[in-house]
Amino acid sequence: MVAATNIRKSFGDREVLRGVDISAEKGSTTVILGPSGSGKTTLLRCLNLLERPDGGILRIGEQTVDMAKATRRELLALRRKTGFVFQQYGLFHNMTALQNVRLGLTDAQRLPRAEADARARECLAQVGMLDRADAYPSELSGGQKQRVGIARAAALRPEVILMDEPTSALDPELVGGVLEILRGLAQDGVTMIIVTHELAFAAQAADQVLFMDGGAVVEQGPPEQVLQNPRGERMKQFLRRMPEMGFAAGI
Amino acid sequence: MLQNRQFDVSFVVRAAGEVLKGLPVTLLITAVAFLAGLVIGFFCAQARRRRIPVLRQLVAVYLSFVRGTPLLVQLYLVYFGLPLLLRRTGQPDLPGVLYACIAFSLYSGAYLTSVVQSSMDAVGIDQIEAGVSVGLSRMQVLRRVVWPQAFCTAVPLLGNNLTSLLKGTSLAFAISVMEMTSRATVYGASGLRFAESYLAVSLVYLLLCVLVEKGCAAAGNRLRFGRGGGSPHGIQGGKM
Repeated sequence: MVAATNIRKSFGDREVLRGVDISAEKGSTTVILGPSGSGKTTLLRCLNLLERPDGGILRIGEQTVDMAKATRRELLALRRKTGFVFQQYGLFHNMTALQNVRLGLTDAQRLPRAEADARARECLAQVGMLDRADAYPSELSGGQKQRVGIARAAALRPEVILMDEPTSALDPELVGGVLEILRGLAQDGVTMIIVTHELAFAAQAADQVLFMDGGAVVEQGPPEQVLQNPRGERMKQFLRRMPEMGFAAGI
Repeated sequence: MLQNRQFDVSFVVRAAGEVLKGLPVTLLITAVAFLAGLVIGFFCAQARRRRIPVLRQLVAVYLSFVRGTPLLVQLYLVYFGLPLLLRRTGQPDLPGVLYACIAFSLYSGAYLTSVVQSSMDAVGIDQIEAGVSVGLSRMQVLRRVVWPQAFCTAVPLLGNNLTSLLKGTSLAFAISVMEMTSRATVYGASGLRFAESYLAVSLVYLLLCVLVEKGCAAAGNRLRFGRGGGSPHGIQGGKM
């Protein structure tokens, strides 16, 4: 499970996260919504310590770390319990799909080569990319790259996979396939925290939905509550502007 | 009379044979200066990239000095200046080729600093973050992700620097190092056939430079990651 309490982060004198609390049960899917600039990406990056929070307490699995006084070793240990899927894929240009997925297993987790190889192939197969295992990122389409990105995060078998708008760089026709994979992961009991604008996906696959605005979580609950009966005016306003709302509301 | 003499092709051939005796010295200076330059360049680039105080300023002075003064003058400075320093410490005079190696190392180090730095800067921050996100340490990210990609970007630049260094070593004749150009000069003087002997030495340089270029092109092709091209870097400015 993941539990973050009172996460604060400022860039210069701009306060981006004003004490955010978020917790996700093991095996659950959490979707974070919010307008741009609301701090949702920063929150996600704080959860795997790509950004170091200025303060707050972060618990992932069995490890709890106070951000104000964490050592580099603690941060690395904590980060190794997470996987991350980037909006722009972030595949290593100098490695094939297979090598991309395998690198964290062999070098960070120190798995034996054969075991790492088997698991990497298994994860590529799961996202339907096994036949492109030896292709370099420059030879893959956006959707294929993101599948490899997801396989790379999943192969680590992390406590939680964090996804930063995993479908927003994709052509519309490729979005469905990637969301399908995410649904599959959710059903397999992988803990996920996803920043996305795909409301239909949130409505269907999320166990909880958070709505962020101005660096704070302003609405939180199961999707049917947050998406269909939001309490706050800000959330209602946000939903009205989302083209998909008609579809989401109809579920 | 000198100007009435015909061009003598056979002299070119004989001069080439003489010039080739200087080849080991030319290659030695080039290899030493290139490798030492890479080491210097690597450390200077780190000092600049990581903004290490004092070191960074020293590097800036070094770079602007080397770039802002003629190579020949640098060579003389080392050749005449260094013995003064060494005499104080009681060291005996060193062979000229060593001074040449030192001067050319300092020269190529300055230029290779830019190559190393720009190649590493060209690796996108997204690549570094991706490496960190799969649990790699800083050092692992450098080794597995940043350096291989930076090297790929650097190959053509390294090739350019290597050829200009190779040609630059001809200036070592000015401090009496018997490399190829010195040999050509001496041999040309012996028969008063300078045109022939300089043509011979120029052909040897040309051949060497073509070899370097071909080698780099081949290396560049081998290093391309997939058919999409060599260094598809994203956002600039990744610091590690």
